[in-house]
Amino acid sequence: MAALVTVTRAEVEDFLSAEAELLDAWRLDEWLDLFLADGTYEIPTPDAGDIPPTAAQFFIADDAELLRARVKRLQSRHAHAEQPRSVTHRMIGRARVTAVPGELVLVRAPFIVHRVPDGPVDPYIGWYDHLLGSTEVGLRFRRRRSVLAMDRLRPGSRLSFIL
Amino acid sequence: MTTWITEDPAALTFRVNREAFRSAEVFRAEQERIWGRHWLYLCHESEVPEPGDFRTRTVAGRGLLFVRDAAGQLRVYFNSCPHRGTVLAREPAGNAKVFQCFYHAWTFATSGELIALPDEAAYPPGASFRERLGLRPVARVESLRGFVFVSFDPEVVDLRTHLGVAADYIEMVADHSPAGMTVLPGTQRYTVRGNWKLAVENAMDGYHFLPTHATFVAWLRESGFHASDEGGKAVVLGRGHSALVQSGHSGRVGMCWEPRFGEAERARIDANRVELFARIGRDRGSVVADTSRILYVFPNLLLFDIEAISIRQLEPVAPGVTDVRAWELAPVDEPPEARALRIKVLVSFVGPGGLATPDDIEAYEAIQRGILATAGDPREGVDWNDISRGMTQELARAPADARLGGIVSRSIDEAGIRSFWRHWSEVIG
Repeated sequence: MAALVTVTRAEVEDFLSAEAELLDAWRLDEWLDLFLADGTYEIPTPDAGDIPPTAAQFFIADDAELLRARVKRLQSRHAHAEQPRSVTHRMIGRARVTAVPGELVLVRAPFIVHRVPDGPVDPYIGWYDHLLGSTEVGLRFRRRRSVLAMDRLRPGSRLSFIL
Repeated sequence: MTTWITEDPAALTFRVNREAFRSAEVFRAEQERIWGRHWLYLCHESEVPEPGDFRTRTVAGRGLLFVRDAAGQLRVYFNSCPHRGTVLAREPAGNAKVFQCFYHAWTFATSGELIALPDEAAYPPGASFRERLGLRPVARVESLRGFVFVSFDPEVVDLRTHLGVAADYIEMVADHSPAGMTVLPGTQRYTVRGNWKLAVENAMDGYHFLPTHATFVAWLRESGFHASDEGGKAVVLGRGHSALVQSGHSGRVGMCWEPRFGEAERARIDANRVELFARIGRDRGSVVADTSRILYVFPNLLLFDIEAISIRQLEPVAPGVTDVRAWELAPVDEPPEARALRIKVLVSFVGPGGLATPDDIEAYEAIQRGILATAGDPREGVDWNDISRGMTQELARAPADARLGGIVSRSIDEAGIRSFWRHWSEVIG
């Protein structure tokens, strides 16, 4: 059996904090560099359960190509849903890190993200369910998944930013 | 009495009073006269395939419980115990042999009968007590090709009469596959800070597509597809229903190829089209396969037969708040790789996390915020929206198109939106 990679919780938490800073600053090109070449970005619908995005309708199921398209779109002034760009604020709880085959670690960490578009403050609560690869240049997303702990999105709570 | 719409064919003006989107009084009148007296889309039959499968869903503010009973019949009840009113099924979905109210343990069969209650001796003897206190069904339930509608008005016209020509558009969706259609797992459920009528206007508005979805159109162009409004039609179907029919916005999974679908899908599409044309004829087959159709059924159903198929249900919560549920519909028998492509293509476009719908949502939320500015301004025309685009062509009375089933004008005009408002105004007064 192949050896599992060793990544500490501190390394993962530093990675998640640095990622949050990039997202809050809308530094999306740098954020995109945090993905492996085949990295995905997913937000399941609450009733999709354990069904993969190839068999259930998610809110977001970007493969690498769609993810690039999403970032490009968000950098356009024609991405009306995020013009002006909303202010975001991310609280990320303690991460639990489990090594899994394929030189990956499974990361689970709770989040509370607030989005402040033009007036109201919209909370998003849930947890990250990421698969990270350990590379020479640091941790990288194989799968970046945000799971909502909500049965529906609250009024006005779009997923037009990166959650 | 307030005037809600003004239409002057001679001056080519059509205006809507913005108070119609803001007023609590209008909202109450709509609840009574629209939501209380029309057919409302409830669900697709495939959502409860097996006996005992049930779901709960709020429609027009009323909690409903729909279940496939032991004999296979779909039943729709108010989700409220006939005894003292408790919510009976408190799960969003499940499978049940019986429904038991947790409060006093009254137990009901899926077919509605009260079958057990503790200490029955304290009630009158005989069958009539139990018979009187079975689950309360909604007044009317009818379906068309798997699409189930309810009405709370016992006197409502039958569903076919209500749908009229719109029924044919539903049939075209059902015609995709000889094996039948099914709702896929995963509901996109979100709430918009906007009046429900703004969601209707947005769906029937071809004029917004290119400016609002500039980033999506740019992405399609990069993938090798040039989206265009050329030849797009708005079809007025009567009773407030309408449709946009387009062929230049995108390809259609399983039906009509575009480059981003890949070569394997191209071969599958070729085979599907042969089967489709043999089954329903080339004339109708080409409408089913090659046109993207967005159907609006008054008041709460939007059926998008576009890149893939999306069923969208509108549920007004307050004048400025609308709950939206969106399901993906697919042929039951398609291979896994085609299913994956279908889901990817739809999810990339629609929903609150797609590359396009968020901009639509922003549009109707921005209207709801924007129209606060002019509220109460007494000057002529200030607190009114203009819906007059393309009235000249509409009034030229183009003959009804037999294949499309109604009065046809350009998709980038506003005839569909006007037909909605005319019907709304007739109902609301």
